[in-house]
Amino acid sequence: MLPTILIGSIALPTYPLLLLVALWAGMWLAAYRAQYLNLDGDHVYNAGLYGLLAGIIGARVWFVLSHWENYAPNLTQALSLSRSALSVGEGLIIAGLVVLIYLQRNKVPLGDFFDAAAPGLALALIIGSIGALLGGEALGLPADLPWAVEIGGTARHPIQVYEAGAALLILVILFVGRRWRPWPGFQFWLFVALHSFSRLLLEIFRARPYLINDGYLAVQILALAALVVALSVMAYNFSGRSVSNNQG
Amino acid sequence: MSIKVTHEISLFKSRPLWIVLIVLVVLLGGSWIVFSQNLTQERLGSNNSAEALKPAAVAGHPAPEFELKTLEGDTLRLADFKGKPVLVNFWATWCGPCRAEFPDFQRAHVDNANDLVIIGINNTTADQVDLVDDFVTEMGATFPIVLDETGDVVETYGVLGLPTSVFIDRDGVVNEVFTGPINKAYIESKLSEL
Repeated sequence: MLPTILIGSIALPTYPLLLLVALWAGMWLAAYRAQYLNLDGDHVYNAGLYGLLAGIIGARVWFVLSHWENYAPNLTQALSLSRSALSVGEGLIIAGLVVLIYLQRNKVPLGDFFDAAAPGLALALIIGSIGALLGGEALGLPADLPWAVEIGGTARHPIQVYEAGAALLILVILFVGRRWRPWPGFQFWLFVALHSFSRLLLEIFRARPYLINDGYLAVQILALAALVVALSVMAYNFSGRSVSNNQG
Repeated sequence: MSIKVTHEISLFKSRPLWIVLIVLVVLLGGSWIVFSQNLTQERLGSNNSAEALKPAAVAGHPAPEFELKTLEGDTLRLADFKGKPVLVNFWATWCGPCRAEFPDFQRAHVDNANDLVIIGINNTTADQVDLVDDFVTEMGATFPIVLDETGDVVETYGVLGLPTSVFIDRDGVVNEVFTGPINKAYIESKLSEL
């Protein structure tokens, strides 16, 4: 585990640092891919940076609103530059909405944009998972296995490695099938389907999963829902293009 | 004039096959979710809980026990506070962010005296005891301040940067380890989790 990286007397937290690296690498790959889809790569960087800013601000605002009784007496505490006090899930949703608004306002074809983003998302997941492993975040269940990783004196499933491996497999699939785009958005929905499937399978190895209603793993339910949505979108787009009439 | 109709025949184009696939995914995925839930319930009820894990400054693990001297020379043990949420803060007088967050710790201590125990552990191997005394007096801190004169507790808790705060719940299990400054609002927002 390497929770912090020391540079002189400054301790930088590893996980947030690698998340930033993941974002940058993901944007780079998406911008590179965008060229092949006749898109301006600048849209990738702009959307990414607007999304990052909105996500961080949104995550902080949501956290403060969720704990209003603690912040109301002194609202300036909400302005702390500390990386604590962030509602990550809600921040991601807000970031996604801002990205969509940016794309709509700049008339960027959504299907092409998200097809370009798909391999970048997979790459970001790989780096982010490695960051989680090094930072000791999102730990796996205790396990007595040859490949178990010892954290805090306990051997655990390296779930972060499993997730990085799944994301790497997805990246390879997207690379191998990069020329197969039966319709705009196909590669993105393929990514969603594969990633959702991997989360559905792997979440059971998480040490402290988010549970709802008598012990159901919330991430599994969301993953199954996302998988069904992705397959439904594919079904609609594939089966809706079964007949073409040419009159001449 | 001729009318040419092109049917692209492909497995992917078959709507019935997609429907079958989606139904299968829902059934198998749903079964897997129920299976996972049963396993999780068993695990939570078994001896594979926090007590079975080794003490470590890792979320979900029992907090490592420590016994240190206060500035007054008294002995303070973490075990003395079992049953109450504890916030352990590692700090040093030369640490700027530690100085910035100290007033918040004092305010949190005063406002939550019955609900939260705050313990300040000074990394004395990298500090000076007389400076510590002056610092605590200047800050007006009234929560327990202890000295890690050997560095053993700092090492046991894996502290690599200052300040580091460790939130421990009333069962003595680590809830969160955070490196960096925090404020009173964040401390109080954690109370419901502890």
